[in-house]
Amino acid sequence: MSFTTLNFLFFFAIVFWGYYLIPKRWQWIWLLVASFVFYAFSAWWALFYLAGTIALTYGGARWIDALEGKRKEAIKNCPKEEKSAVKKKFERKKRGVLAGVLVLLVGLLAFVKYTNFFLDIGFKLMGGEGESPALSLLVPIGLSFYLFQNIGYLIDVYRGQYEAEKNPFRFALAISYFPHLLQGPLDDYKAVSTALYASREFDDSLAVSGAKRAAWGFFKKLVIANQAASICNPIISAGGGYDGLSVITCMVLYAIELYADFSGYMDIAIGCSRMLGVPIAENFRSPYFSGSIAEFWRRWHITLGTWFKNYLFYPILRSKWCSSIRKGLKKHKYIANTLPNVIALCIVWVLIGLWHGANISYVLYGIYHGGFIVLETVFAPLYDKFHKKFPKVQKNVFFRMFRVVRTFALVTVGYYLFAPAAISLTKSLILSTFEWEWSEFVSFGYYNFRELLVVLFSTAVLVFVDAYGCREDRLPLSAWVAKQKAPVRYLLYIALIFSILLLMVYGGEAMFAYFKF
Amino acid sequence: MERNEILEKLNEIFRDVFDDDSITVTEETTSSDIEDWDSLTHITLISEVEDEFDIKFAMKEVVGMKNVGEMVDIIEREA
Amino acid sequence: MKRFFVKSVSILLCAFFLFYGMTALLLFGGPKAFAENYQQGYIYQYRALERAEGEKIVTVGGSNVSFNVNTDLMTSLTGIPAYNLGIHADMGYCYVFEDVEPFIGKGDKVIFPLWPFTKNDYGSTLIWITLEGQPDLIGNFISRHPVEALTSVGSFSLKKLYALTAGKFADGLKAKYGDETAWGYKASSFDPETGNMTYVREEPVSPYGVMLLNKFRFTPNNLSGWYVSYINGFIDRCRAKGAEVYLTYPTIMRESLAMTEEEIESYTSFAKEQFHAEFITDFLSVCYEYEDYFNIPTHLNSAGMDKYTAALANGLRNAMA
Repeated sequence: MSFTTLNFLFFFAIVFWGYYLIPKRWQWIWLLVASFVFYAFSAWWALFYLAGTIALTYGGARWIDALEGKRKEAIKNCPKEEKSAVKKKFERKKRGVLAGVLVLLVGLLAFVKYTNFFLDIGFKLMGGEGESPALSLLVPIGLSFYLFQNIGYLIDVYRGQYEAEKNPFRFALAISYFPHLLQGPLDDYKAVSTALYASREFDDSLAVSGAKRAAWGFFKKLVIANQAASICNPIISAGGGYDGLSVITCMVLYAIELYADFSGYMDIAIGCSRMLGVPIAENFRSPYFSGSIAEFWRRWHITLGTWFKNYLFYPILRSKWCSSIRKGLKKHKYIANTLPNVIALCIVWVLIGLWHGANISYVLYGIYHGGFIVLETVFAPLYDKFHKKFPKVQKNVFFRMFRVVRTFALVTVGYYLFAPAAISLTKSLILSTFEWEWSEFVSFGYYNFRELLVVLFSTAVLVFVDAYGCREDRLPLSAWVAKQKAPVRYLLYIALIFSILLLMVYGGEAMFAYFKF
Repeated sequence: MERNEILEKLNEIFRDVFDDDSITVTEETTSSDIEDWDSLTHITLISEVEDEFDIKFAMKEVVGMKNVGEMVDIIEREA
Repeated sequence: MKRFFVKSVSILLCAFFLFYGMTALLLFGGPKAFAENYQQGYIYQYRALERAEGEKIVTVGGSNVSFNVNTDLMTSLTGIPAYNLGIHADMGYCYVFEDVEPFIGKGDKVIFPLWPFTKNDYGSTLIWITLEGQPDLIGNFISRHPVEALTSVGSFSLKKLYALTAGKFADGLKAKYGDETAWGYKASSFDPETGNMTYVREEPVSPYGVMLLNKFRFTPNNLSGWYVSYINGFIDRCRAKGAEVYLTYPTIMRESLAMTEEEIESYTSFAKEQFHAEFITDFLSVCYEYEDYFNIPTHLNSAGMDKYTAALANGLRNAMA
């Protein structure tokens, strides 16, 4: 069920009112049922994947906990000399369970999503011509997200961060919770589950704040993203046949579209969840105001970055062979510290690219971004030296603006790979970018004039809101709104809804961009 | 070891890793207080601390550590 | 909780009233933004049909009717008053069929150039532009398809507001830098009394190579089960009223046909056995050469239009005999 449909509005209205009318001890059950109903609307067969992965992870986590309990018992009762041997034995067993379940979970994802991709690569490598063999597999929507949520939980339990959840249905709720089920955020299990299992009273300020947040998400998606998409998507799918300025404009529009789409979805998810009294993680923090690619990924799809950091990047860096590299090169401090980071970054970024889709374009996209981050890491000491020598530069407002513009430009260039998701289209888009024909651009301008005006106006609002909120020392704009007198507040809400009704593009084509991941 | 001894040694390590002699860490110092302390340098820092005190942090400690004070707690316990 | 409910519902209702109120104003009144728009041709055709008395011929379809059937010529060749209803396929064939049916009565002849379409294809965007300032037609649309009408009417407001303001600037740019001719896509292409396209098109305006970029192919698969029963339902209902429906084929530039003779044969024989009405022309004889066309392979210029009209009139005469 897409968030920006009448169906979802009815669904959520029922869930919301029901939640506060039923006895409190049933609230979490209500949410669990609602989440499964929500998922069933996407594809009833996908419920098997959801339930299956949840059951598998639940079982694995309980088993690891049981082993841990046995270990504690064994250590208590055994003589001192054997203590470390016992410890090692149980570590091995726990690791075995973890590995087994991870292989199954990751294997499932790989099989369902990536089989055809790898078949294609293998086929081409062996010199095959024509169409490579492919299985027709339907990928259940949201699989990449809830599988990662499951994996994160299991690894956390293995690391002893918290105990496994004993109630399978409560665990199921934490994973399948409908606001974060299909597109994230990948929540911290402990934080979100504590909130989910608690029963709550209706809280007016949370409900209002949540509704405001969700409404803002509707504006971003229905107005900004859909209008921008209606202009740039046809040109991106066509790949060629347009002049350079039009193509550049379209790529910038795509940058706006992707952000408005994905962060709009997050706003709706966060807003709805807040109305239910459950805080979920932020996923965006004015990303296009970043000064560097590294900073961009701390502000864009934040929970994905955190997930990869916790469950892949750190484990790689803490692994034996990374440590041995560090020790072996101890004499050359710079290399000893930088080389492991670079290796880990390369691995992580290829996988982040691959996570986005079974397509070489996404892998290249990951390498593109990873490349910049590696460069930043490698040249970090040089930058530091430069800025120590010329401290005024860093504080200069033009320099900061330059960094923001540069980062936005680099990210937009990256979209040449990401948007069409086909190398041939990327190639022709790049070639078209260098063919400038003023009259064609003017044509593009007046044929899309109305949509461009709407995008311009609505993006200006978005930029204002994001610029206001990107400063750490200031509360977001919604806090300012909350402080205004009632008539002003109501006027603003009415204006927002009015704008959505007037400017929106609604319809079947209006699917969320990140649904396919 | 005493807590302030540990803290002094940590201070040296921090200054070395971040190449900045003006750093002075306290128990409340977090990653947002030191500009270069991000996920990339965090592991370098952890490794240096492990080497210096001859201890090994568990993964959940590496990920969950909120400030220097918690780091000191763990060192106190393990060393 | 009650307070929240009351607050949120009132805010929503306020916004809705403001918005739909403004939309109603824009739909029914105010300065006309689309008076010169090509879609006005549909209103001319509709009103002409309303005024028609006695036996008549009605050709229904999309722009393949307005560009290709000359009602004045059809009238003089057959001796029966002829009307068109259809100016743009994107309005949705379903919509046009629903509009034409009430006008069909005893002794009428309906001609339909066979073109496949899907269920519920309502081009609400174009429909609203067409219906600006036509309260009776607006009422029809809303009562026939309330959900579709009300969810799409919002975009009309934006289009009208834009057309009255910034749109003028864009049109200025278009006039300065763009096509010198709007290729007949204007209200003035039509005779307001009869709805006939009187815009003179002397020769093709698109280069031959560009015309070739569009290819057309029809197979029995295009004539879905739903489509066949929809058309047959229409045919049967017209017959029950004493009218008759005659099928024909749309005109398509020969070289734009991506069909072999066998494929044409299989398509036409399938159509012949599926539909309850007879075909008054065959498939290929109404497909002409480049010289007869105008801007796209399905639109004829004035000379081609008369050719096609004569072919239909001939076929109709033979069928009636």
